[in-house]
Amino acid sequence: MPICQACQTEMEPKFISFFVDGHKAISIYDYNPFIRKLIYQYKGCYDYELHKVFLDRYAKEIKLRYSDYVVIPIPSYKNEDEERGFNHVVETFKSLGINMLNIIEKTEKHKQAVSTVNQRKEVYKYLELNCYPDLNKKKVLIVDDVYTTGSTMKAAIHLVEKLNPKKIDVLVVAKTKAKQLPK
Amino acid sequence: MPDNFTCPICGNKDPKYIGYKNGKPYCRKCITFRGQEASGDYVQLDSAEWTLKYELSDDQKKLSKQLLENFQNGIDSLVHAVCGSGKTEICIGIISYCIRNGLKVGFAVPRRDVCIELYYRFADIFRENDLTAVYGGNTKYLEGDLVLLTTHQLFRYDHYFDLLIVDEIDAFPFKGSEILEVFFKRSIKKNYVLMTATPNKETLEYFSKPGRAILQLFSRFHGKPLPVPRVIKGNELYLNYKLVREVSRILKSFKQIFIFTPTIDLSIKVYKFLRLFFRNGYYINSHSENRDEIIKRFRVKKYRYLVTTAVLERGVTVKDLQVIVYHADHPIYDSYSLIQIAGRAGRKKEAPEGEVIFLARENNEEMQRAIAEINAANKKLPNLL
Repeated sequence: MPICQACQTEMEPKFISFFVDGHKAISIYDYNPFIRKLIYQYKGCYDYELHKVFLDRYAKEIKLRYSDYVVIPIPSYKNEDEERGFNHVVETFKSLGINMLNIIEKTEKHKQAVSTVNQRKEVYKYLELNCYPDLNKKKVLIVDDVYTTGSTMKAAIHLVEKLNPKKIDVLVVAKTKAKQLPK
Repeated sequence: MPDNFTCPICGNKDPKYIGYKNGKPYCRKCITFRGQEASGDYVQLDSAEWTLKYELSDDQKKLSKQLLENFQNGIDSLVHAVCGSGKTEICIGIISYCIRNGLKVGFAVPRRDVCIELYYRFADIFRENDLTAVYGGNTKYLEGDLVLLTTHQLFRYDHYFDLLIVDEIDAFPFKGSEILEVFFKRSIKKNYVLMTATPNKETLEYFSKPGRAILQLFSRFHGKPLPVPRVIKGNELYLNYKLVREVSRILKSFKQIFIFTPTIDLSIKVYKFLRLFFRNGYYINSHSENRDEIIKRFRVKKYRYLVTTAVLERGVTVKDLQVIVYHADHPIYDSYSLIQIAGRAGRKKEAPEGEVIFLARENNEEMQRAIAEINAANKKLPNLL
C-alpha cells in the first residue's frame, strides 16, 4: 500500500528499543503530532482504511523477525470494538499474517488515554485471560498501539507469564514521552 | 463496488475519499469532524452590558453601527480592516444586540491560542454573561451567551448560529479547505460576518454583489499609520550579519522582537545562531509542545526575542514589538502573509510605531505588493499629523 514520501517523512519511523519489566520492547514510532493525528483518526474516528498505514512498509521485515512467535494483542472493551466496528490493534497487526491469539479480555471500560498516572496503574484490575492455552516453549509477542507508562503492558505480561512461554517480547506502534500525559 | 455513495453530512461523492468498513462505505473526507453536537437547549441571559477601558474611535463607532444595521436588514457583511484596527471591538455592539434579543451568536477564529485570547478579552468586556470557549481538547461545554470557537469546531453546530462572526477567513486552516466551508455553511441559521485584513479577489467580488456589504476600516484604532516594512537586500552572509546588527540595536533600546522564519527547520537554526550572541530568547513553531508557556514568558519579558514560524503570524498583541522577517523572499510568503506579519508591530496606543524589516535575497513581487498595499492603506488615512 503506497504511502507518499511526505507522509513517510512525517511519520518518522524510529524503531525505539526499550525494556518492560526486563522484556525486550520495540516501538516503531515516536508519538509525534503526525502519528497522534493518524491514531486519533484511526482509533478515535473509526477510520478503518488506515489500518495498514502503521506497519505496512515494514510488514515483511517484522513478519520475518517474529515468524515463529505467537502474537497476543492488548484488548479493548468489547462495546468499544462494536461501536468502532473493528478492533484497531488486531486489524493493524493482523496484516503481519502471524498466528494471533486473542486471549486477553478487558472487563471494564477503563480508558487509559484519559487517566492520570495513578489511575493507569489500576488497569490490571480490568484485564484477564479468557483462555489458557499451553504456551510452553513458545515465544510470545504482545502488541499494542500506544505505550505510555507501561501499566497496561506490564499487566498483560503478568497474565501471559502464567501460561509459561519461553519468552515474551513487546511491539508497539508508538511510544509517548512521559510529559505528554494529561494532568 | 457500489459507487453511488454520497456522504449525508458533507455531500462528498468523490470515490477517492470513500472508505469501506465491514463492506459498508463511509466518508473519509469529513471523518475527523465527528463528535458531540450542540443541543440548542441553552437558555441565555437576556442582557449583555459591556465595559471597555477605552473609547472606540469614530471610525470604529461608525463601522459598529453599520454592522448592526446590516444584520438587522438581513445583509451579510465583509469587514476589510487592517491589522490592529480593533476588529474585535467593532463587534461588541452587534454581539450585545444578539444576546439581548435571544439570538445565538458565535465568534470563530482559525487558531486555538487566538480563540483562548479572545475568550479572555470578551469575558472582560461582557462581565455579566456566560461565555464559552470551544476548541480541541476543550469541548465539554458547547453553548453560552457568546460562543468563542475554532473554525474546526463548527461541525458541532447544525444550523445553529443566528449570527456567526468569522475572523481571519483567509488563514490556514480555513483557506482552501472545502470541508470547513461545508461545515461553516451548515452551522449558520441566519447571517454571518467575515473579517480579514487581507481579502482575496473572489471574496471581494462575492461581497460586492447586492444583498451583501463590504465595510472598510483602514485606520488603526490609534489613528496612526501602519508600519511600512524596510527591505534589506543581500546574500546569505550579509543577511546573517545584518540580522545580528538589527537585533542588537533593537534589544539595546529595550524593545522586543519577533523574528519570522519561513520553515520550522529555520526557526531552530536561526535561534541557535542568535543564541550565540543574545541569550534571552527562544523559538516557537507548530511542533513546540509548550507554546502557551513560551508566549507567556515573552509577555513578561523573560524572553526578549522569539524566532517563530507562521504560528505567530496572527492574533497576537504585544506592546512595542518590532518585527524582522528572515528570508522574506521565500516562496511561502505571499503578500497576504507579509501584511499580516507586518501587522504584528505597532499595535498598542502607547507604542504605535513599530519597525518591520524584511531580510531578503531579492525584493520580489510579493514583498513589493505587500509594501504597496500598506502604503495605499496609509494614504487613505485622513491627515491628522
